[in-house]
Order: sequence, then C-alpha cells, then structure tokens
Amino acid sequence: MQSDAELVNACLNGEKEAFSILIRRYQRPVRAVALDVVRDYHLAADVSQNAFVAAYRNLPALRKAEAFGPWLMKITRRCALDLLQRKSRESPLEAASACGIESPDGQLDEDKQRLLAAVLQLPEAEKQVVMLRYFSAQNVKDVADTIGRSVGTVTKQLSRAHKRLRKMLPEMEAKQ
Amino acid sequence: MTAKNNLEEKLQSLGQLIPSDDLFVESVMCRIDAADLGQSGKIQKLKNKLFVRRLIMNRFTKFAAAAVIIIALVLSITLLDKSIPSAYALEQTMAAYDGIRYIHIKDFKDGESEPKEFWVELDEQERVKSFRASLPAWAEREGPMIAVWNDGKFQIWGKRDNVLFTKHAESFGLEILNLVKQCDPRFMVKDLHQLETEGKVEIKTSEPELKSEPIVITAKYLPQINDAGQIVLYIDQNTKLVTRAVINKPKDFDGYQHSWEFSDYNIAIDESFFTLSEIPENVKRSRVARYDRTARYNLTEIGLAQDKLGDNEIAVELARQFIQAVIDKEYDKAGKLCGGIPADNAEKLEQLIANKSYKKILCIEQPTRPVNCSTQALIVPCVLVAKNLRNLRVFVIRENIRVEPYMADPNRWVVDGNSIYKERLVITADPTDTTSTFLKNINSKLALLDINKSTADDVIAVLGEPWSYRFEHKDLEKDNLPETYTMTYPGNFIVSIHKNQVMEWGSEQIPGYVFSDSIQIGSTLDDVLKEIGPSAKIVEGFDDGRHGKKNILYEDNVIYQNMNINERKGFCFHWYDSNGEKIKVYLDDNVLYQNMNGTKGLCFYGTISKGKRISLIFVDNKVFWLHEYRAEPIKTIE
Repeated sequence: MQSDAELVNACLNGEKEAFSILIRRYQRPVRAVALDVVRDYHLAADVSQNAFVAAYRNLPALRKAEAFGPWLMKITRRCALDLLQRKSRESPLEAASACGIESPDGQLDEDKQRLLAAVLQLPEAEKQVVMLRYFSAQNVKDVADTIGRSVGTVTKQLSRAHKRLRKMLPEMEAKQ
Repeated sequence: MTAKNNLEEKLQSLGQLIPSDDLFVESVMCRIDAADLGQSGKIQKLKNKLFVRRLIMNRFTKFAAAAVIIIALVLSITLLDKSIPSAYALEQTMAAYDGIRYIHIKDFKDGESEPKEFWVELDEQERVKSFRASLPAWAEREGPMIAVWNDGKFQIWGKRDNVLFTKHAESFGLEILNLVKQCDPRFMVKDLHQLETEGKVEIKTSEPELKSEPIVITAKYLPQINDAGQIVLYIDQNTKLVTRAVINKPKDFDGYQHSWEFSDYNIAIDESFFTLSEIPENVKRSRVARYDRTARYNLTEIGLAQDKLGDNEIAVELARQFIQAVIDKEYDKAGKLCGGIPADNAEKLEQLIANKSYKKILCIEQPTRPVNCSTQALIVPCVLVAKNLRNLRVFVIRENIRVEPYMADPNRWVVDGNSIYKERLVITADPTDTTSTFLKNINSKLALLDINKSTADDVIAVLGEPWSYRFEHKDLEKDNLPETYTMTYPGNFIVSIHKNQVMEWGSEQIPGYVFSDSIQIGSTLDDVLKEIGPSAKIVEGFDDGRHGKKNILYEDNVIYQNMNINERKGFCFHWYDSNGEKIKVYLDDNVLYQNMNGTKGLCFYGTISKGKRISLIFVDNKVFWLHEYRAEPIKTIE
C-alpha cells in the first residue's frame, strides 16, 4: 500500500491517478470534517469536492508530503467555512439555521453527532488515524502504511484516541 | 461488550453513515481534469451534472424566483406614445379575464425545448386556489421537479433525488400564492394598465386587420426605471386574452430571454391534478420546519408597515430600525424586520456571516433602485461603525441594505436578508497610512462624520488610529487620556477632542483637507473671499497676543457665544504659546485680521460659511491653517 507521501509525490510528478487514490482514501474523513461544519450531507458533498480540487491545485505548496492528511482536513474546514459564509450571503435564513446534522434520511442522532464532534476535536495525529481506521475502514497496517508510521505507533495513537474519546464524550454530554 | 469494543462499534457505525462512492471520486477527477485544461465552462457543466445538490428549500426559492421574474419585468413597463391609432385598449383584456378560472402557463427558455409549466386554478375572488408546476431538468440543478399547492398544502417533489417537501400553513401559502398570482397574465395586464394610468409607461399597440392575427403590445422600459428592455404581449383578437408574452432583452436576472405562452383558458382541471399522486412510496421526506418563517410569526409582525410613508421613507426607516435592532442586539426585532427569520439566526447573521458587530449608525443615505430590478425594491446605503470580532478593530463600512414590499402583504416592507452582504464597502482607514494615502481620502472620510455629533471613537472608526495623542505639546498614552486632547494624523491633520466629543478638526501647511469643496491649504486669500463672501470689516495690524500682550483668559474649552466685550459680539478661540501658557484671543466673526502682529501677509479670518464655523490663517496671503469647529459648544456662556 502506498503511503500518502508516495502518492503526493506521484501526483507532483504528473501521475494524476495517484490523486484519485488519495480521494478514495480520504473521502469519508473529508466529508466528516465538512459535515461537522455545514451540518448537511449534500452540502458536505459539495464542500468535499471543493476541498479535493483545492488540495490538488495547491499540492505543490505542501511542504511535507507525509502531512497530506492533516493538511487536507484544514483545507476542507476552510472550504466548509467559505461555503457556509457564501451560502449565508445567498440565503442567510437557511445557512444560519443549521443546528443538527441533516442527512437525506433525517437528522443524525445526538450520540453520533457528539461522537463526530469529539473525533474532530482530537489532536491531529490521533484524529487522522481514527478517521482512516473507522471512517475509511482501513486496518491498522494500512493506516500505518498510509501515514508512513509503524503499526506500533498507530496502535498507540488509536489507544490514546480511544481513551481521550471516552473521557470527552461524557463531558460533552453533560455540557449539553 | 467491553467499553473499547463499544466505542469501536460506534465509530465504525458513524463511519458508515458518511457516504462514500466512486462517482464522487470520478466527479472530483473530472473537475480536476477540467481545471487542468482551463475549461471553466466544463467545470460548470460537470458541477451541474454531478454532485451539486441543494436542500429542497433552495428548489422552492428558485422556483419562486422564476415566478417573480414575470411580475418583476412587468411592473416597470413603460408606455410608448400611442403613435399608431388602435381601437384596442387594455381595459378590454382586463374585462375579458373576468370569469377566467383556469389557465395553463408555459415558460420557455432559449435553447431549451421543454418549458416550465404552470397550471393555475383561481377562486371566485381571483385568488389562487390550486396550482401545479412542472420544472424541467434545465430549470433546476437538482433535476426535474413537480410542485403543487392545493387545499392549504404546498409540496415539491424532486424527481431525481426522490425527495419530498411538504408544508401546511395558510400564512406560508400566502407567499406562494402571491408568486403564482404574478405568473397570471391578467395581473400583468392590470399592472400595465396601472402604470399606463400613472403615465409611467410607454406602449405601442399594433392591431392587425386580420382577426386571426394577434394584437401586439410592445412596451419599453424607461432607462431610469429599468434597463431590462421591452416586453411584448400578444392578445387574441377574438377573446382579448393574452396568448403570449416575450421579454426581448436578455437582461433579467436569470441572464436569458423569457417567453411565456398562455393557453387552455377556462378548461377545467381535475382536482387530482393539483396533488402529487404520482410520487413513489419510497420518497424521502425532507424536514422543513426550520425554514418556515411564517409559522413563527403573524403576518402583521413581519417587516414594517408602510402606511402613509413614501417608498424612500419606509425604506430608510426600515433599514434604520433593522440596523439599530442589530446594534441593540434585539435579534427578535431584527429577525422580524428581515422577513421573519428567527432571532437566533439574526444573531448568527451578525456574528457568523459578517464576523463583526455593528456599533453605530453614522448616516443613512438616500435609497436607490437596484439595477435590473423593476420591483419596488430599494437599496439603502447605511454607513456604519462596526467592530471586527476577530481583531476587535473598529472600522466603518457601508452596508447596502436591500428592502422591498413583503410578498404576502405588499403594505409591509421587509429587509431582504439575502442581499445585505453583497455590496459591502469597507471605508475604514488603514493604520499604515502615509501622509499621501491618508490625505487622498480625507475628505470622503470626513463626509461620514458630523462634527457636531461625532465622538473620538467615531473619528477613529473613520480615520483610523491617530499617529499620536497630544496635549500642550506632550504625547499622551491612549489608555490615560485627559478630558481634552488632540489626535494627530498624517499630513498635519488634527482632531481636537473634549469630553470625548469632537471640538474641531483641520490641518496646516499640507494640502489635502478641503472645506466646502474649494478651500484648502494653499488657497489664496482672494479665492477664499470669493468663495465665502467678503469680510464685513478688515482690521489692520491686529496683535493676537503672541508677543506678550495677553488678551482675556477664559475657561478652557468653552465657546463664549455672543459675548459683549467692549460692545463687540463674536467668536472666541484659543492658542497656546511656546511655553504652553494659554492665551485666549478674542476675535470677531467675519472680520478679516490682516497683516497681524506686524507681519505682512499673516491674516486671520474666522467666519461662518454655509452653516459651518471655520477659521483660517493666511501666510503670504495663502491659507496656511484651516480648521472647522463644532457649531454647538459643549458649554455655552451667554
């Protein structure tokens, strides 16, 4: 399995197909970040597209190829905020009224919304491995290959993330 | 089950709820390909075709906007002179529509074979009882749709995504019905007739001899009302009903030419046609409560009643009340004025979208009619002091607030929330201004301030932070300012403050600040007198006291008006000598003190010009010092 860094470098060498692998790999994490901001599945799809296109265009500016994942998440968040702002100008009523996360099948239940918010509050490294592991459905080895770290490191990061999430979730629930 | 497993399961379950598909990858790659090729048009097409999906409300609003176009274009039609005599009159068509209960409308777009279609049923009072709209794929990015209104229920079904939006609400329906009503040609004709009566339209009528040929009414927009071109109505000679309408100039806000066909007059439509009986069982139902503004408020709570106010007056008043409500954080009121959006949204509008908070209204300018808009909408420019919520910097912006009659009750006006942020203009000064850049804009900035009302904060908002705060030749700390001080800006421009109020402003030596559009540093004495009129008297060789002859000492920062000293009434101000010792000098208004202190060409002239109090010092008979003063003193002693 090629690491992010290898795929990024391949893209920079003109192998555009490598980028489609990155899209497949990060499609769900990117949508999750977008969803957290725009609170709507369809809008999150728009944002995700914009984020990937923006990432592709700005790939030469990425200083550390291995940091592609966190970098992409930042771009996604920026795109989501931009869209939200643009949308607010066009239709403030709609944009500003967001509360729960809307999916085509209704609203995401509160537990899941809280869990998503908690994941997105994790430290960058932990967030990346959690998203790749559970959202992109990669096994631990693939996650390790993706981010160019050892299996042991990823396992530790996941473990720390679990611990942190277990601590965060009741606190978040209590706040609500 | 262990806690770890439980959490993992939850994470996996959450992950599965986040969609992922190959089409997404493909669409992104298509966009990247298109971008690589620089094919912006292709991007747009791909964007339209692939994953750009909007909420169901967008579909409705777009549909509604399409309906609005018709009335928008008709409302400001102008009537050409009736150079061609005609037996036909619009009243005939208006009369012909009496008793018409059913109508079928087709809305065509150039280059598209399939039109939008509307079927409308009216009741005895000509109110829309039911309607059905069929919107083809080209009309909506989200694909073809069917919308119906019947028996107090509004529904839109998005065929492509198989999503259904349903709403029961009489008040909500009123808005929709108003829009649908506007598609009805009878109202086009009524509006046209109204404008004809008011002498606001120009129309040309052609009535062919052959009865099979339609009467053609060509109406042109006057440029000052609208530059959207002309509309042509085709009237059946036998029935006197409108059969077709064409907007000839493609300048409407959809950017393409419109034409409509009206047919099937009074051909009864079965009630079932106004229901969505064809929707599949597996349709996804959209939650819409959060969009329903009218369910939250009574119609009489939304917007502001126009009553006897003119359009401009209601527009200014509405914009003022809206902004003030936001400033006062009365979001409930702001939301109602803004077409009924909920209070928490109004708050978010200010903070989330604008990322700033309004602090003060500096002025509200005269409204203007938006370009390419023939409705009654008006743009109200509001010059405001605002604070950036990120860096807490105070600045001035001009918000162009668009206001218009409320759809459901045209006697009430609302702020169009969609347009508030479109034409924002930030006017604030840059703290890194140099003398040249600062003085370049000084007059337009000062025009935003009222010397009689402005505070130090207002000045900072408009001109930016001063270079320094000074008093009696000493620099001061901003955090520890006395009651009286001077703010100094680039280009020797200063603003004097007393008790936080502006007392005077002006500059010396460096031109830039212009008084009354003509007087500035460097203007000659002759030019000044020409501009503001001759002095009542010329006093030669007056000694202002700088050379030891101290005049009368008065209390600080008090303007002594109409003082009677030695039988002279006039104007008092003060200087400070080089030792910081205060010297008060009494000088008469409108008296030119020439060649003062024995110095040829050194003159002083204090006067009131165009209602503003100014003072000028001339060196070599050219303006060297130019200051404007607050008209009303902080404290007056008679």
